[in-house]
Amino acid sequence: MILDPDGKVVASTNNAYLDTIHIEDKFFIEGKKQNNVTILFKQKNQELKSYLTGPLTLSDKFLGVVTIIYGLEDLLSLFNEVEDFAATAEIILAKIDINGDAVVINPLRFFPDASLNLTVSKNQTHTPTIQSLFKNENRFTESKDYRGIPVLAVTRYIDNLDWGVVVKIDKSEAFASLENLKYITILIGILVGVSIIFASIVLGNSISNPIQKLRNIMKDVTKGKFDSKIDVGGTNEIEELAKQLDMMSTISNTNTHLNELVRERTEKIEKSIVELKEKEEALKESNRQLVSVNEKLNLQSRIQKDFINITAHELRTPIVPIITLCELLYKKIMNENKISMNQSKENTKKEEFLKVILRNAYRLYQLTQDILDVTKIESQILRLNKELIQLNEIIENVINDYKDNTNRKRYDSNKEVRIVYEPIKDTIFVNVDKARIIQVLSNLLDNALKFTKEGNIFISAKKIKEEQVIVIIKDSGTGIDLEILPRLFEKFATKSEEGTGLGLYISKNIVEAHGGKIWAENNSDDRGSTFYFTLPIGKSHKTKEYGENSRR
Amino acid sequence: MTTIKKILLVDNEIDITYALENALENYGFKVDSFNDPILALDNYQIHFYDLVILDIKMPKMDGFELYIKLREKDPKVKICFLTASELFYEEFRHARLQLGEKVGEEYFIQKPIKTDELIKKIDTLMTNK
Repeated sequence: MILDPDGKVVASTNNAYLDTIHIEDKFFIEGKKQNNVTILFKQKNQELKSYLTGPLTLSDKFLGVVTIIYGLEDLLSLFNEVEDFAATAEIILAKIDINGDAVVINPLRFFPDASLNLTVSKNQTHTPTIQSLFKNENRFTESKDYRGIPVLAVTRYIDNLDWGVVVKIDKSEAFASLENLKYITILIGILVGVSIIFASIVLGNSISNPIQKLRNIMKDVTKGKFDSKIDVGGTNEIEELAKQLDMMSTISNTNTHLNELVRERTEKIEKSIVELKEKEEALKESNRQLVSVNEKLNLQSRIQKDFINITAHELRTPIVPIITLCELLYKKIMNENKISMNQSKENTKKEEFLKVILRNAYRLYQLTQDILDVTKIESQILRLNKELIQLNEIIENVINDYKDNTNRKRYDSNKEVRIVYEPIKDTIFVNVDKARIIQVLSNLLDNALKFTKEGNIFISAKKIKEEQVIVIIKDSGTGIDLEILPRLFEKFATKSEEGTGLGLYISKNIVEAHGGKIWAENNSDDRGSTFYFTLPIGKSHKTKEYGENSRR
Repeated sequence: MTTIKKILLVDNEIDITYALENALENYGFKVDSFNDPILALDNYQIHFYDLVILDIKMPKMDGFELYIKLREKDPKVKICFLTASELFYEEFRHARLQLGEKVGEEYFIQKPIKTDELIKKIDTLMTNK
């Protein structure tokens, strides 16, 4: 598991450890100080755990502590198994504690509670336990153990664990066969003198030889020959002792392996932490860049908005008094002309002049509107104030506006053009920005009127699918120039000298912003053209909302 | 028209107030106009006007600030904006909405506007509840 500098577990293979705090725990405190510290720890259930712990640093920066916990039950059970062979044999694992004394790691056969409780003072240099740790050599000794009973013991120091191992057996058991031999020798000795001596030599060797062999092997082991197999003949006990020692080699190898594994894992973890840090840095950096780009974009958008607003204001403001006063003057002159029965030629001229001024003022007015709409579309700030409204209402609104001739002075009143509309029978609601759809319809009607000298302009609307409505404006004018037709809805694609060349482009964008489509074609009878646009049908259950949004 | 409807018009542009005052009075309204928003506020007559028309972009005090001050003096008076800055108006509307006040879209008149349309709009606003 990996702990942060505050002792909190931030990563663990065992989820139970996650987020637990260990700032007071020894393995964390020690792990901060030095690498590869092994700490033994006995849990409440007497299970012995080993903590391999060390600091996690990145270019001298302390990042936290890595700790690997593994249970020692498997290791210790090995000893229990080997202890089965003899009544008094046992293995002692010891390590040096903070006082320099030897502390027993494993529970002992005759002292089950010895684990981490039994200590042997460093002054007792004659004990195998101390010898295993301090003499740093492998020995075969006769001694008395913690029970005060004479024992035979072999010791070994395990370098990479810093542990000492003692394998011992009670002298009485070890030499039980020898003791028996003594009596046999005495008995037989009385009967056969020379043969007894001969026999005793032979039998004596059978005991001492294995021990001697064992000692030799021990020497080998000390020189690092862990793989030496012990081949001893002789009594079972000594043989077993040898096997046990052999087992120690295996255990030691396992430990070495374990240690290597831990070291390897730690390196891997450290490496991936470094990589993670690098990635995090890269991420932070790109994040910073994103934030700054975003700020710039916001500023840009703000500047653009302000520009549009200021331009709008500056362009539109001077038009107000021009239009207002021209209209007022026009009205006054018209009234004068009405009153004076025979209007003077001078006044007729004045009326005409004003008409021209007004027509151009309106054109300028339309141009400012269109340019600002295009700017809004292209800077993507065209906002729609949608409301649920009856399509009939919108269309009738526009047509009435056109029929009210006084409002449309820019068109030749001499024209014989009629706008024909038959209202849709079904009630169709559309969720649209009313003013914008009126703008589209006005643009299309303006367009139709512009190119139609006489005849009718038909407007119709119908449901085409369950969720779509189509509006059709059919004129009988000159039709669309074939050169222009493919780019009809692009900016400045006009052959008219009256318009701004922006109306259809704006209309297309408005319709598309509502989720509809717009297109045009020349009529098959070579008379005029037809414009179509579609709109999604609004959900009628929102009728209430419509009521709320209606004018107060 | 039984009583003459009274309009207060505030716009810093003299040409605009001059033109609109003439056009609206020609139609039959009584119009008081100010080019200085602070003077307009100081001389404001409570419960006197049928409609207040404000420009937005003005020096010294913008139309929104004037709107708020006038509302404090005369909470029921109808106030509409006649302005070329529709984006600012949208922001203002949004800000008022967050304060719980619904400023209708209809209280915005786009500048420039034809006199006929302006009068139609003013009539509608005045007859609204």
